[in-house]
Amino acid sequence: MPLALIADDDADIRDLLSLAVGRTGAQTVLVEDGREAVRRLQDITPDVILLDVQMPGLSGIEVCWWIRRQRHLVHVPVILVSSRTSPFEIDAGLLAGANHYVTKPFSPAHIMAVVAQLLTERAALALPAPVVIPDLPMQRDC
Amino acid sequence: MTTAGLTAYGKGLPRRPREVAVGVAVLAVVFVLMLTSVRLAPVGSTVAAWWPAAGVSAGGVLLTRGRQRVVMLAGIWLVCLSANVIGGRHVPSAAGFAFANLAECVVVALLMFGYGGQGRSLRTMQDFWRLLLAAFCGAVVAGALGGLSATAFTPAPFLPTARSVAASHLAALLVILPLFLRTGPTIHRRPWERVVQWTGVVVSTSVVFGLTQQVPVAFVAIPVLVWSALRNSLRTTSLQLLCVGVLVSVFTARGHGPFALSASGSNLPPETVASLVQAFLAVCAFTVLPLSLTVMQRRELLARVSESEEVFRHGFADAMLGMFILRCEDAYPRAIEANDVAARLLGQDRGALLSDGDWLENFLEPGRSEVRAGMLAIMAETSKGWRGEVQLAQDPSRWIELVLSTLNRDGSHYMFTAQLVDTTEQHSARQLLEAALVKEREAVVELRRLNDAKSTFVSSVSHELRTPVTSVVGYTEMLIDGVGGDVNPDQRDMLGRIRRNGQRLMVLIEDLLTASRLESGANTPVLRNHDLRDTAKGALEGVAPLLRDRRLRMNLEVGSQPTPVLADAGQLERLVMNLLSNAIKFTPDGGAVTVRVSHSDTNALLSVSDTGMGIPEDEQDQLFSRFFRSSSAQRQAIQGTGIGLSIVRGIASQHGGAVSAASVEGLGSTFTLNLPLDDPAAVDAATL
Repeated sequence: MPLALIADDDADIRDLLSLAVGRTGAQTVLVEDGREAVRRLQDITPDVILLDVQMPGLSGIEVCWWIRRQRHLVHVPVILVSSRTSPFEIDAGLLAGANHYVTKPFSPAHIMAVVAQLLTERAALALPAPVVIPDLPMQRDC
Repeated sequence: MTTAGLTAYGKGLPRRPREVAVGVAVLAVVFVLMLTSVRLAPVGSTVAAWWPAAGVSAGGVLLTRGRQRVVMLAGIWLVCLSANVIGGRHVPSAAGFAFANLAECVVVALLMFGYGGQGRSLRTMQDFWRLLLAAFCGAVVAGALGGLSATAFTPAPFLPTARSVAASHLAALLVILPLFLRTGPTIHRRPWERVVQWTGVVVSTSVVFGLTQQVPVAFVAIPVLVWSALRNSLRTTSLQLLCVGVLVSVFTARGHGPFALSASGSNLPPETVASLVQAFLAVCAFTVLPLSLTVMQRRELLARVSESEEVFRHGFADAMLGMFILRCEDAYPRAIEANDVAARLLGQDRGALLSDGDWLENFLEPGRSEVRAGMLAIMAETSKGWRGEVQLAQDPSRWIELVLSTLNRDGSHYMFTAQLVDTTEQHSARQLLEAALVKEREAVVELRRLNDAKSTFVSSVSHELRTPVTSVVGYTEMLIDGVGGDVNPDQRDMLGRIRRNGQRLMVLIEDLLTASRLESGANTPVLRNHDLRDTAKGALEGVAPLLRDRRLRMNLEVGSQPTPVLADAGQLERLVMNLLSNAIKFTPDGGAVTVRVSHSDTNALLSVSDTGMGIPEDEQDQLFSRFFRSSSAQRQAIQGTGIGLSIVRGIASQHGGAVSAASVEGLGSTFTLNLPLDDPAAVDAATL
């Protein structure tokens, strides 16, 4: 069963996100702010992470930045959810390594679609195991 | 014959009649003087006692230049020859004397003009020594040649003849040549002094030399001439000297006066009488000429000094600036001179300004250490001057601009000039200006702070409003989708109303935020090349939910060619959606809404027309103001905030375009967006 971490300081939005993500069949872990998210992420490796941008302590963008520098989290898809809609903010989020930037107001259906897509892609994107054929000489010209 | 040939032919001849006249006059005078002198030769002598013709002829030569001089010399020889012949001399002897005269003129001219001489100038003692040398050499040459010709053609002995000729010529040259030279400026004395002076010269000389008894009072002429030298110009003095010479010669030749009488009394030869006359004249010239020269020079020098003194006085005393002359020793300056403006500036009389004590301490209060440092720098020769603003000791509200510059250095004393200008007004004006600038800067900072506060407000409001609306609409959708369990049709209808109104709230919030961002300029569009037809299609799709439960005909009329514009796709679509939602809102069921996209050579046009209620004509000019709602909309209680069209206009102008409206009340409205085409050439190419 896939695991999703959801960080948002607004309890209603947090639960709404949890409901939507839950409908894709994933289990959710809920945290209230960026620091707690970082603390929880040191123990678990979720399949998808949803972060609010505007949170007390560490912002979602900072947490995303941190995630992309963790060996066990580097491939985990991150969705930033924000009420900030300016192109500058969106670019900053994507530059920090987020896979998606969803602006409020969002509809739960949109969240479900994005999460479902990321979970499927993740499965498909698993690296194929390297095949080694010892008898063949290595090609040098590539 | 050409003009050039004529010119060449005439070259060397006197060019101006005046010059010819002068030359002829000189020769005529020489002729007359020679005749007279030969006639006036003392009885028993072969030579004349005085030979003024020598002076005049030498002077005449000095007056000429170049070839004129050669002509003049030839004339002199001829005149001399003829005068001597007429005077009773044999032709060979006359020719010899004429030659002697010629040689004398040549020598005098050579010496006067040669060796850097100014020629015709008698202004300095140097000129006088030159004149003396020329006269002496000329006389010696004339004497030697005259003596030779006398020895050769007459029974007269060489030496006495040579001696007396030389002496007579020297006297004549010394007395007459100065009249041909340029001297200092003429001096105008009062008429009575001139009359008395001239009378003195004539009378005293006539009386002394007209005496028929032997009284040796020849010296009486000298004080009168000295008087002239002290008071008159060199030219006047020379004239009087000449006058004395003529009178002395005439009287002596007639046997009057101390020289002739003493000679006759002691049976001296006539040559001795001549020599005495010549010596007397030479002494007179030698006494009077240098004296006159020196007096003249002194006079000129005084005039120059007093002129420069006057200039300085004027510059200093009547200057528009306050001026001081400071004398500075060990960095303690004392004022030794001050002008009236300085006194006025410092509010004290000049006597007080020149009092003892440190000038800086006395008059300039703050900043004087700076001035002193500047002064020390000048004295150490590390700077040329000092300039700065200082306050007055007596009245610190007054500001003075002070400029110090060195005047000269005298041992350990330095002299400075200090120039003072009252800059109180400029100073206060500058202070006012500075205060105004500070105030303006503060205002700008305050404005910036307000603007920042507004931006912060917009972003925090956007967060605070969007988040709860998200919850409202999100949970409603979940309920409708049955996440919270089954809902019956009544409940579903109610939930639908909640969702619809939530969405309206969302739109309103977005509109408000957009309007606010447009107004503060924080809304920066990301411009990309975009086909306006796609925008129209997208916007039509976007308003599809509004058409549910409505009976409206939606038409889209686009051309087959792309209509490229440089635009932010999202914002442009929002603009068109605003226009469309208005059209839908204000058009009753059964009507039609038409979207047209077209373009001219330079502009892309998108119009939205409806068959709705229209806008009263007198309200059309307020259409695009924020929160404006037409009276017809209010009458029919159609929902709206009046913000949509102001956003439309804001976005259009951000894209360099414009929106216009045309409407007839009751028939419908047409809103037209006009944007510059991105690349008209590309469109033309596609059209062809």
